[in-house]
Amino acid sequence: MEKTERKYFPRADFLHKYYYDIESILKNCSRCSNCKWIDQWEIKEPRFSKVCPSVAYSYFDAYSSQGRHDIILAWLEGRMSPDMSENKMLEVLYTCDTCGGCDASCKRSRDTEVIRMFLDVRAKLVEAGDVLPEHMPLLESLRNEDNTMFALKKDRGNWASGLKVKDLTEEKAAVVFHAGCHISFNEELWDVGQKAVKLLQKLGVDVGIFGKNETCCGTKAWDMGYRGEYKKYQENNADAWSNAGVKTVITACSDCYYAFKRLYPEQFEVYHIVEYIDKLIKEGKIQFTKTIPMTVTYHDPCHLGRRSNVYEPGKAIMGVYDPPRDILKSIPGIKLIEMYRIKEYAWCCGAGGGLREAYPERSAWTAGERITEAVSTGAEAIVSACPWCENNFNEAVRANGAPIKVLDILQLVDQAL
Amino acid sequence: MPRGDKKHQLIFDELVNILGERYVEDDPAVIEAYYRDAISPAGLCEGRHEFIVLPGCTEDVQAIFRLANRYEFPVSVTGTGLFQLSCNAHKEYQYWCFIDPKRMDKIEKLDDDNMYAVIGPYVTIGQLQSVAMKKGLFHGVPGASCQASALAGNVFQNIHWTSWRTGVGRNLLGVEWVLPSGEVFRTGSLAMDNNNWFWGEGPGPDARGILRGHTGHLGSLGVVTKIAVKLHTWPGPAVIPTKGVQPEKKALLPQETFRTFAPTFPSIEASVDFIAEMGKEEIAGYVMKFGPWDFVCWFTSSFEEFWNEWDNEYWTNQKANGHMVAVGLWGVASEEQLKYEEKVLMHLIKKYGGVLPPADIAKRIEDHFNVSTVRDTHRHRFTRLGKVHLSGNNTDSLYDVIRSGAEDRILKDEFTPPLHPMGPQLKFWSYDFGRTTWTEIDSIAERYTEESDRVGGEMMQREVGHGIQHGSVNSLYTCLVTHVYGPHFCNVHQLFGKIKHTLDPKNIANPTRIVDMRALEGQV
Repeated sequence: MEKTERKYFPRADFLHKYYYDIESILKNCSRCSNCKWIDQWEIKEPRFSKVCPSVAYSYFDAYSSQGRHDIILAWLEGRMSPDMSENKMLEVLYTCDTCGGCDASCKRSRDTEVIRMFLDVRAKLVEAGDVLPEHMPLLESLRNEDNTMFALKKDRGNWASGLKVKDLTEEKAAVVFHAGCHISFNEELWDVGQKAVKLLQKLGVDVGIFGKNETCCGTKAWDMGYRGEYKKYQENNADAWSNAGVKTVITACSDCYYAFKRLYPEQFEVYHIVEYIDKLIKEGKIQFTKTIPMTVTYHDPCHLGRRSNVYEPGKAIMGVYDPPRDILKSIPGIKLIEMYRIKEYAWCCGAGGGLREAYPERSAWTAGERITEAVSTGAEAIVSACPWCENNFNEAVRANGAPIKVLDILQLVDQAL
Repeated sequence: MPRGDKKHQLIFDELVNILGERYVEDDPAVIEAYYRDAISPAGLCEGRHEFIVLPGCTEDVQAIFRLANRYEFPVSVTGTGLFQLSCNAHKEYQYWCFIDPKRMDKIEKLDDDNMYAVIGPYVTIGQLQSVAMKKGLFHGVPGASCQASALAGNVFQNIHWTSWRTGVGRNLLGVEWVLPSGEVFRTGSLAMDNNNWFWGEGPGPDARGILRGHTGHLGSLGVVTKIAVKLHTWPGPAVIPTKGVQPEKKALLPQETFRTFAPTFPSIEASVDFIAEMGKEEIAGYVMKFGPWDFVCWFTSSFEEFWNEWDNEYWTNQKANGHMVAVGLWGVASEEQLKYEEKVLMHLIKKYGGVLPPADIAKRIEDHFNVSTVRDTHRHRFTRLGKVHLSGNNTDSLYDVIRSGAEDRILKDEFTPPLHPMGPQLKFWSYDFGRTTWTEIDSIAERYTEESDRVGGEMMQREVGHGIQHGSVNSLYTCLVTHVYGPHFCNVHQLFGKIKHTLDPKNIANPTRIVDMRALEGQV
């Protein structure tokens, strides 16, 4: 029988070809509500079965992926304008932390790119001047001081004071360690950056840093829709690295990892430090000599996990899920207990997409929910691989008095070496 | 600031007084998220609510209805929102207040000795199952899938894919129901005391017959705020075992207690005879006839994979000639039960000329169906390809399928194009071991074109006409046109109208659904 004879389902582009088309994606929403929940197969506990922080916080459907589909369709069809004096369209669109939970849930049964669509819509809105006033302080910080932390550019290198490491503004090195805005300016996390550099040096890596001359990766600007800003940092970083002879970029921040791996041109080899450490453990180049008797749970940062996936319809939503887990399992004494929502269906920390800056209460609530989930496992510590996550969790633990520590995986690695 | 005229602002302020500012919305962007779904024709999605409210408890719902009676505005409710057709604001009504039950999401009780759970309206089937399975219990899942509300499904069709064994309608036990007047009505064994949920039958006539049916009352007789629902034995693991990452994730239930077979029969008649005899033997956890597109759509994970599979020789032959039935065997009592049932099944397949698929296709079907009939199903999958138009939706005896299925195909073909030709896509699902049977053809059209929308409305009207002509219930659409249907069915519309008028004299609870009181003016 001739395979191509299309007696049933004659060829029509919309049926036979997945191509990224915003209108098709919007109109194909069937209101199934998968976007509000984790993978149905993975629900083990009703309390921890939701995947979308914004609808979980606000309740109204508008704050879900499905609701945003409806609203964006109304906007595209000219039935709604983003005029904040008329409606809450901009608030609805920007109370999403771009975690991609809805995207992963939707991709279970659809060829679609939900998060890509949301980000493209944000970029269109910004281009048209429909911006959220609450984002302006962050934009000013980026424009004036090249960072997302409302800090002074001149203080960016302070985290590395006393660290004997190449200054790539003056020397060359094969590898750059990009600290990122958060590690650079959050004193609580300086030791993560310091430990990362010292570990790389101990392993004989020819590594350098840009210190106070480092600039933002651009992920926050990208996720908020400010593509011009993002482009500025992409070009600046790529030029700086090229001039310094860099071939490999290593970072301990998942936002930075996402930008370098998925947004920047493929000019440099990119690793999150957990990938690098995991690789070296498996090659036998790292051995842990100390025991850490501790029960921990691991939080998958969105930008290191599902957001870093390269989409291919029907293929697994991959991310850096296993390397950090393998690292933890190889540290003597560590017992790893998983939370109810992990990997491609992990609950977000709430820090992404400009949410923390524009809607801090929502961001804090989201982190608090994750801490509650971590505590419910009985773990002594929640471990992650992203300073944004760790900072949000630290704040949540302090606010709620939760009986759990927040650790970066590097802190455990360093302790066990 | 509330929007709209003085009455709108008054209602808004009063709702805020009841619920608090956080839980009342009249913003156009927020309201825009509550009007469309996958199957409603566009003409039924023109209205917009004026208020969206989030009650947190039964008392909140009561207060909303009392307010609605005072100011005479309509109130409707959703479950998890899959079937907006049933509760969308009608464009001819103002001040429509829509209840989103998200805050009422508690599993109040799970009694594993007596095998029931008490739940609020926003507990999903997946959530309920996650708790029940740990106790060796199970709640079935409908086509809407596990993210749908368990309560809403039970007071709607109460049809699950395992209803072959677990029945339709009889799993609803005690009910707490807020009437349109704002009074609370408790049914079944709750008549004895407010914490006695275990039995659906109470002293005297059973009021469940009023609140549920093939579509239930859809909120036109008030809002059900809590139910007790029967649970069934689950012979599987406490959690679904999974491996990998979606959409390539696998979840394999133990084959000692879960098997799926998909025999193809040479004719509709043969498949009907097979199902009838399966019923007499009282074996299997589910028995469901699907069209070939359903099988391929579900177990493939992308467009590309779908087309590669759809165009292969096996399915090309199925489209033209095959009538495939999915049979799930559950070893509820033991592995030996499954082995026995498999022997009976094989004998019946042979008796009616059935043939099992090749091993590779059989495995793909089994690996998918085993878990998806438990914790997934299909609505979100078959809407992947485009706008779905449901034709058929007939509910009658099993043997009536032979008549209704043939007519459904003729009707569907009349609207092709713009519907896409898909082969004999008839599906039918029999419940209670071969008693009631629901038939359906799901056809695909391009998403939201004018022509596709027109077809939806026209097909709906023709469906209703068919039902009237043949004296069979066309389930989904008759709920909207009971005044048209009723005169041909012993004036049942007048009975519904009288019940509606008694319980909701001001016609504030989801007006136009189930019975359109304006259309019945003078007749009730």
